[in-house]
Formats: sequence, C-alpha cells, structure tokens
Amino acid sequence: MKQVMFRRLLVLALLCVLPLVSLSAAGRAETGDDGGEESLHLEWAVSTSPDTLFAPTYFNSPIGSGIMGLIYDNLLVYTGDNELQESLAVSWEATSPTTYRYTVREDAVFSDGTPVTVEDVAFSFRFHNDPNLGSRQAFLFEDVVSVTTEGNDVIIELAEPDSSWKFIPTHMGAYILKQSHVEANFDSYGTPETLPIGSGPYMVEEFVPDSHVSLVRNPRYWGDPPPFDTIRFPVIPDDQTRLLAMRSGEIDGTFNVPPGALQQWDQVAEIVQATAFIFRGLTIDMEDDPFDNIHVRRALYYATDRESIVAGLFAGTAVAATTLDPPEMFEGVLSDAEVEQGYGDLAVFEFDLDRARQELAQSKVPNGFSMTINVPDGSQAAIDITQAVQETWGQIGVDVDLNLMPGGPRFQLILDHGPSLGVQIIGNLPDVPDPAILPYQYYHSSQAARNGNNSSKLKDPDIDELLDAALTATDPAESARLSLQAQIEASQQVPIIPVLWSDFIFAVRDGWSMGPINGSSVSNTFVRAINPR
Amino acid sequence: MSIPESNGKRKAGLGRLRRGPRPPGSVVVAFAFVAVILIVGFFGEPLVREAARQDLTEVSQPPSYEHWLGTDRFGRDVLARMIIGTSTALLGPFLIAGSGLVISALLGITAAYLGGWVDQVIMRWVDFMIALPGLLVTIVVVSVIGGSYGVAIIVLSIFNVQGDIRIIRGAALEQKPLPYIESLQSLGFSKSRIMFRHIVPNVSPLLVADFAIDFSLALVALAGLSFLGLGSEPGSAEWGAMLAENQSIIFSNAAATLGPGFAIVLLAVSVHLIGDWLYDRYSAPARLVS
Amino acid sequence: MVPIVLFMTLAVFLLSSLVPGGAVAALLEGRPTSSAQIEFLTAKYGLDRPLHEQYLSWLTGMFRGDLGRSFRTSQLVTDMVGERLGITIWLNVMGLVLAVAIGVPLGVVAALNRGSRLDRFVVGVSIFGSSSPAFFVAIFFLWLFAQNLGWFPLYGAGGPALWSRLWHLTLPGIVMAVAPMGLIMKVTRASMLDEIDQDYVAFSRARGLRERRVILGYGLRNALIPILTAAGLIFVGLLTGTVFVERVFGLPGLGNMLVQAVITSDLPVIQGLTLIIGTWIVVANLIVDIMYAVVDPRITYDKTK
Repeated sequence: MKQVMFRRLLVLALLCVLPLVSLSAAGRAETGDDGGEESLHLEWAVSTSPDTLFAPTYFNSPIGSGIMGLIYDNLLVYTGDNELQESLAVSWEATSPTTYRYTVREDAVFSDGTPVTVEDVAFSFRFHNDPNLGSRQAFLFEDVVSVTTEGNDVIIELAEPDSSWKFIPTHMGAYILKQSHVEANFDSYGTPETLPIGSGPYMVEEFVPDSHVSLVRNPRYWGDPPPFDTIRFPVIPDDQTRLLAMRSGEIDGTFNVPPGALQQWDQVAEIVQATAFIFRGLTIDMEDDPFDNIHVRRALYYATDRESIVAGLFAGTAVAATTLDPPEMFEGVLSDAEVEQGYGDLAVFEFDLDRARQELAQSKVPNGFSMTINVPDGSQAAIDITQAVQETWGQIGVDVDLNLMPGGPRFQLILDHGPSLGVQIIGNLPDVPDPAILPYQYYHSSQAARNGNNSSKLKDPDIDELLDAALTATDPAESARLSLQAQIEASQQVPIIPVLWSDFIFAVRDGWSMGPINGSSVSNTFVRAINPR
Repeated sequence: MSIPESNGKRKAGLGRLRRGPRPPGSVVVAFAFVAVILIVGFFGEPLVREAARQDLTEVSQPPSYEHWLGTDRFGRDVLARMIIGTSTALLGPFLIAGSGLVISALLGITAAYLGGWVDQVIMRWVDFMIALPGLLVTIVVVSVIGGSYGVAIIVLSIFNVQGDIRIIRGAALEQKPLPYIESLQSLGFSKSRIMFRHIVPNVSPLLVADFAIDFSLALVALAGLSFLGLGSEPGSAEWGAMLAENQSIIFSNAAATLGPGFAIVLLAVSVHLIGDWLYDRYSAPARLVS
Repeated sequence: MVPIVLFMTLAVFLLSSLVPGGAVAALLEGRPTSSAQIEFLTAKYGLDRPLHEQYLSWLTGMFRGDLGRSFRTSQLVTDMVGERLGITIWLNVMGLVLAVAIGVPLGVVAALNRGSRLDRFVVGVSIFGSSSPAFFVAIFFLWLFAQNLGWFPLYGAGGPALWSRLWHLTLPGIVMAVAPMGLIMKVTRASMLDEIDQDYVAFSRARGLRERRVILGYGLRNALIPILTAAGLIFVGLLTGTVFVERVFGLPGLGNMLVQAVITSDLPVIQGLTLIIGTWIVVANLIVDIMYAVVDPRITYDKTK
C-alpha cells in the first residue's frame, strides 16, 4: 500500500513539475519599471490583441493605429483640433492637381540608429502597390502612378486628381518603414518574431499577442520627447474585467468603453470622446422584392426609432444620423449656414409608426411580410441595432428573423453582391475625413458590383456624376458641396436608413484629463493629450 | 448498518420506487421547484409577453416595484423574459437528454444483449466519441456553421449519448446472466421482445437517473455556448444568452444577469438532486423477479 | 489512437472549408477591397487549391514540425502555441490537483460519516459545484475575491517571475477546480460507500482489524477505480472549462486562442489547435490507463473498460 501511495504521489508530483517548467519557459523577460528613478508609466488597456504591428497586414482600428502610431511616423499628422500638420515632412505642396511633393526632414532617425532616408519614404509609399506583397492598405494608393525622389524630396504622381489624397499620408497605411528591415523579414514583420523598427517616439520592447504590448521611449526620437517613459497595453477582452481594472486603479485608461456600460465607467473614470465619423445604418436592396417599392422603404425608415436607439443603447455616445456623413465632417470646409441648409434638404423620416403603416398600405404588402437580416456576431452595435429594429418593425407587421453569422462569411455575402441582398446592417468610417468617400462607396453605380459596398444597388447617373466630380475636384469646398448634394439627392430614394453617427469613446483615470483627440489619427494625439495629475 | 436488509417483496424497476421510503427534504424541494418551472414553462409565456417588450427609455433599471428584477439593456423586464425563456430552458436540455435516453437504451441494451461484433462496433464508436471534448467540438462546429439553437442541440446530443450507452450497457450486462432471462429465452420469446419488454423496465430507474443528470449537464452546456455568443438567436429569451448579454450591466442591474444565472444553477441542481436520489434508490442491491 | 487525432484534424478541416470564402472574407471584413486583393489573398494562402491538396500539404508540414502561419497575425502557429501552452497546462493541472486534493479526502470523510452534517454539506457542495456553469463561477469569484476583497490580482498572467505568474493563476485555477471537485467528491463518496458496504469490510472488522485502517487501506484503493474513470472525464472537461476561465480572467492561453481563431476563421490555428487537443486527450487517456495499472496491478488493460 505504501508503495502504491508513493507511486501515486510521484506521478502527481511529476504532473506538477512539468507545467511549472513549461510555464517559466514560456514566459518572456520583461524589464518593467526600474524602481530606482521616478519613471512615468502608462498602463492602457485594449480589448483585443492587435493582430500584428505591421500596417500592411492589418486593418484599421483604434487599437492598431493607437499602438502603431507611437512606433512609426507619418509624413503628416492630425492634431487634436483636426488640423493637418507636418511631421516627418518639413513641408509639402501640391505642385499640380496630380503631383504632390514632400520634403523629408533630415534629422529623423530610426530606433536602431540608422537615419530615415528619402528612399525609405519612397519605399513606404511604393510597396503597397506591389501585388506580390498583398498589402491590405493597397486601396489607399490605387491612384498612385509613380513615387520618385529628388534630393530630400519625395514626389508622388497620381493618375487623376483626387480630393482625398492630401489626407492619405496621415493614415496608418502610410507609416514610414525602414526599407532594408522590412525587405529582409517581410513574412514575419510585425510579429513577435520580428519587432518593427520605426522612427516614432516609442519602440516596442515586448509583444505578447493576447497578453500585452510594451513600449519604451525611443531615445533617438527627432521630435519633442513624449510624456511617458514606458507604456504598456494589457489585453483585457472581458468588459467587466476591464471595468474592474479601471475601478481598482490597475489601468490608467482604455480605448474601449462599451456604450451599454457608460454609466458605470463614468463613475470610475473620465470619459473622453474622439471625433471619428463612425456611421451605422441599414442598406436596402432597391432591386429586391418587396423593397423595390419606395413606400416599403419609407415605411421601414419611419418604423426605425433612431432617437431611442441612440439614447437607450448608445447612452449619449452617438447621435441619430440623417445621412452617411456627419455635419462635423464639413466643418471648416463649408460655412455653417451652407451645412445647415444642406442637411435641412435631406429626406429624413422621423419615427412614426402610423405613417409607417400608411406607407406600407400603399404598397402591395399592406399587412407586412417576413424577412431575414444577417447579423455579424462580433459586432455588439450591429446586434443591438438589429434587435431594436426587429422590435419596432414587428409592430407594423414586418417580421424580422435575425440570423447571427460569423463576421467573415456575413461580409462575404455582401461582397458577393447577390440578387437578394435585402436589408444589411453596416458600420463604416472613412479612412480619412473626406466627405466624398462614404457616398462613393455606397451610392456610386460602379460600386454596385462584386466586392463593392453599394448593397442598395442605387444606380443613378445624376448621382454618379456628382460623385465623380466630387472625387476629382481639387478645391475641398467644391468637393464637399458636390458630395453633400449627392447625398441629398440619394436620400430622396431611400437607399439606406441612416441610424447613427458616433465617436470613439475612451476612458482615462479619474482626476486626469485629456485634451482633444482626433479619431482618425489616434496615437499621434492620444498620448500627448493625457494630462496625469 | 453495512449489510442491507432484504425485504420480503421486491418489485421490478420503477414499481419499487412508488413504495420506497420518503425522499429527504432537499429532494422534495427540488421536485417542487421543477414542478413550478414546468408550470411556468407551459403556461407562463402569454401572461408576460407585454412586459417583455423593449422600452428604450428604461434601460438597465435596477429592481423596482414595477420591474421585480429590473430591466435589461433594451428596457425589457428581466423576470418576464426569464419566464418566457423557461420553455427554451426546458426544451433544449430535454431534447438532448431525451435523445440520450432513447438512443442509449436502444444501443446499450442491444450491445449488451447481442454481444459479439455488434457490441464491438458500438463500443468502439463509444470509446472514440468519449475521447472527444464535446463542448469544444460544438464550439468549432457552431461557429463555422453559424450560431443556432438547433445546431447546438444536435451536436450536443451526439456527444451526450456515449456516456449513457456505456452505463446502460453495463446495467444490461448485469441483467443478462440472471435466471429470468434464461427462462424467457427457453420460453421462446424473441430477442427484441426480451430486450425491450423485460430488460428495459429493469434498468429504467437507471435510465431516468441518467436522464436527469444529462438534463442538468445539457442545461449548463447550452448556457456555456450562449455565453460565448454561439447557439442562440440574438434577442431570444434564453437564460444562457441573457446571462451573457446582461453581464455588461452587472453594475447597473446585477439582477439581470444573476437572475438567469441562478435560475440555471437551481434548475440544474434540482434535476441533479432528483437524478441522484433515483440513482441511489436503484443502486441498492436488488435481485429482480419478472 | 493516432488515427483518431488525424481524423479530428481532417474533420475540422473539412468543416472549415464548408464555409464559402470564409477565411478571406473574415480578413477583409468591412474594408474597401478589390478583386485583385481577394485573389491575391486566396492564392497566398492556397485556398484555391483542391481540398485534398490543401490538407495534404498541411499534413506534410506538420510532420516537419511546421504548422503554418496564422492568417490573422502571420505568426508561426507553433510559436503561438508555445507561448500559451504553459498557462493552459498550468490551469488544467492546478484544477485537477486541487479537485483531487480536496475532493478525495472530503469524499472519504463524508462516506465515513454518512448522514452527518458534514456529509450533507459535502453532498450539497458537490452538487452545486458540478452544476454551476464555469463562467458564472468565474465572474462571481472574480467579483468577490479579486475585486471586493482584493485578495487576488484581477487579470492577466503576471510578470516574468515565476511566483508572480503562479499568483496570477491561482484564482483562475481555483475556479477551474470547482466543477471537477464537485464531481470527484461525489464519485469518491459514492464508491467509498459501496466499499464500506462490501463483505470484506465486515469480515475484516470481525477479524479485529481496525476499521479505519481497513477502509482507508483497502477500501480507498478499490474505490480509486471509479475515481480514476471520473478523472479521465475531467481531463477532457477541463479543456472546455479553460475556454471560459481564460476569457473571463484575460489569460493568454490556448482556450482564448481557439475562440479567437474560430471567430476569425483562422484555419491554420484551428487546425493546429485541433491537433494539440487531440494529442492532449490521447495523452490524458494514456496517463489515466497507466494510473489504473499503478493503483492496482491486478487490473489489465481490458478490465478498465
């Protein structure tokens, strides 16, 4: 018996030791705080792990640009007040409607000590168009015909005038990369195997996916020293846990505040909004029965209680939308009066169930009908909006079945652009604050095809003309005017039901404050905007 | 105390239970609770449909006189939704445990009685399936195919059956060498008749006990799937989904998530208690006369 | 045993291929795209090759120790697993060890004092434990112990020092143990009761041997068989519990990795994890079989069925 017990204990002991060994082996060294000097550290939680730290293999999100923007530089950046400002470029100008010349500063140095050369800059713009590299930011550079260098200048030639080009250098797709480093390690760039080298204010010390990213000050940074010596982004996917961490002071702030829990967060932290021009709404397939009848489309719009959705589900972090672009996007480009007038001309159908029923009565389905909406399971906002819509549409006889799907296949159906797209729930934000972008994607007839976003199948030559002109106009005011006009005309046909516009919501430690942040260029402003008490 | 007394009379299978000693207090409470849930499940929904409507002006309210368990993120009364969700909470696990009952009785008894290659084939399959982590596979399948209650139930049923087959087979094997079987055989009764008209009643308490435990486990498994966001339509008043959905408002209205959570635990525990009690009754040594 | 694992990977692979364009669409969701880009990504990941070719190339890669790169992060799957394996193993082992270390003695004590308050308490705990959903327990414990009482850290896997990592994993480990402990307590108690009722115990008592010694010496050893059977089920069950616990406590383990991979249709990772899980189960079953033999040399392999 003793022998048996001994053997059992031995096996148990072995079972315990093995994982201990693997556990310590799996851990990676982390230098952390000195403990000696007073070093300023920022602990900033994120809700998902960045997939990678290399923009071309990554998609836009506040987390991605939030972290990566601290490591890399752009030629131009946004300030918190939405001003375009030189960063890695000391100056720039559009020498012709299709040519842009940027003068690169000479004192910029990568974190490994090598200087940032014009070739690096040219490479960073050029390589996205290399089909063998499959950059996911390639769409930004579609119009780029050539990228050449001349002394300290980089010259970019476009195929045709593009009103949104001047914002592109601020985008995460336009980070300045170290050419030799990227070319040598392309396959694994941005993974823990090959940590990126940038010329930004911070360098990556550690990247443990699903756990954290830690950054340390870049001693060779050319610009103003950033406020924090070290920054750590712990990954806390569970909303409750993140809230508890905020409450207990374990984190200093976070990018992700779930709108439904805003009240709780407000009690334990300062809530900060970053302008983001996020749009959420529903597209209606105008070629699909019974949606091809404008009365049905109007009925559904009337039956959507946008104000309550915004108030109840988004707790004041969003505003009921009346079209694709929020009026803030026109600020500074058009006069307030013009904006007000334009938005006043939009066809809007405020919540009114009686009117909804009246509209429906004029169609061939006066008593309602059944339908399905595909809902991406990863988007809480989409799930919420479609549930709210299901409730109110049900009250006019439209029975909605919500089909929860994984995000990928659901989006594939949209891309496939099949015959019966019905109603789709969409959320989008323009890559750069150019009012022509979203209308083009959703209203232009060329986008009503495979891999396009015009799921409403709106095909109106007048609107196409307006959008084409808007995209190529070099005067931003003219471009804005045209895109607003296009949206006004489109709204008459009810191709979409706009639901809300929202910003990014951040939280920062109680007692601290944050200056203004630009949602399109999060990182360049967010760290500097934090004022620790 | 250690040697069980023998009664003069012993009746086969379920018949015994009706005459047995009274169940302990906790089991009585469990029965009562399950009875209440059953009644609510069958008759409750129409009564509370109005209260469960969305009201986006009253989101996440804590418990009050109007809303005993407060409201959820869409302003819906939590208690009303729990009542509506009762039928689903009962149906899914019932189907899973029920299919387990039927299939395991069929396959388990067949394997035990017929023996030979039939037994081998069935047991190989069982061994293989038992080795798989059911819930994980369900997660993969449901996320690939798309979240739906029906798919979740089917997949969980498939994984549930194996353990039961083994147990029933074991019990049927115990029956096989008994004298009454031999006498039935010599009387010329067909195999299937022996299996299903005689063996089944004698193992039926075990079947019922298994059913109860499977029910309890299935309830928790379905809730787990909902927690991960799989296995139920959004907006459906399913306890597991409600538990997950209302987690985010735990600090505004904890009842919205604790309510369904405790409902799941209490129902699972009650059914489990009943199942255990039934199992205890059956597992005391019994020699049966047909 | 090995065929089982391969079969699992094949099944998962086939299932994932059922979803039309899933992987590529998952990568592109919501962003402006061009057909050229979609074609490029499809070609890059070899998704346009016939199914059997894709599977075979994965298989050959596996034998070389290369499980490919994640679609989402481009990290080597083997690296990703390596980083996370320690945490998941630790959680499972801790869960099992705690469950056994607490469950078995309590089950024995309850059996020895059948009908007492302690017995009823143990039975109650075991039923509640095995009926409580792991995520509910996780949230509740997190709220109670970490947040309100501040005894444990809230999230994450802890610093580089081993003691820090262990400390961060303590509460999650305890949560992992709750359900298995319930089961083990119950099985231990039940099988001990069976043993106590056996004739040989009565005979030993008649021969004057001390009852306690008899029960603990022989009774426990015999009772171990059903306990081991339960332990085998627990091994498998723990893997599932890991998913929930890792999610709630924000631990970078395999469970979290699986959920992420499944949500984003990250095929190489799903394949790799299926392989790991399959292997894990095979190994776990093997360990349990070995333990059977260790516990009672009389038992041959067949008898454990």
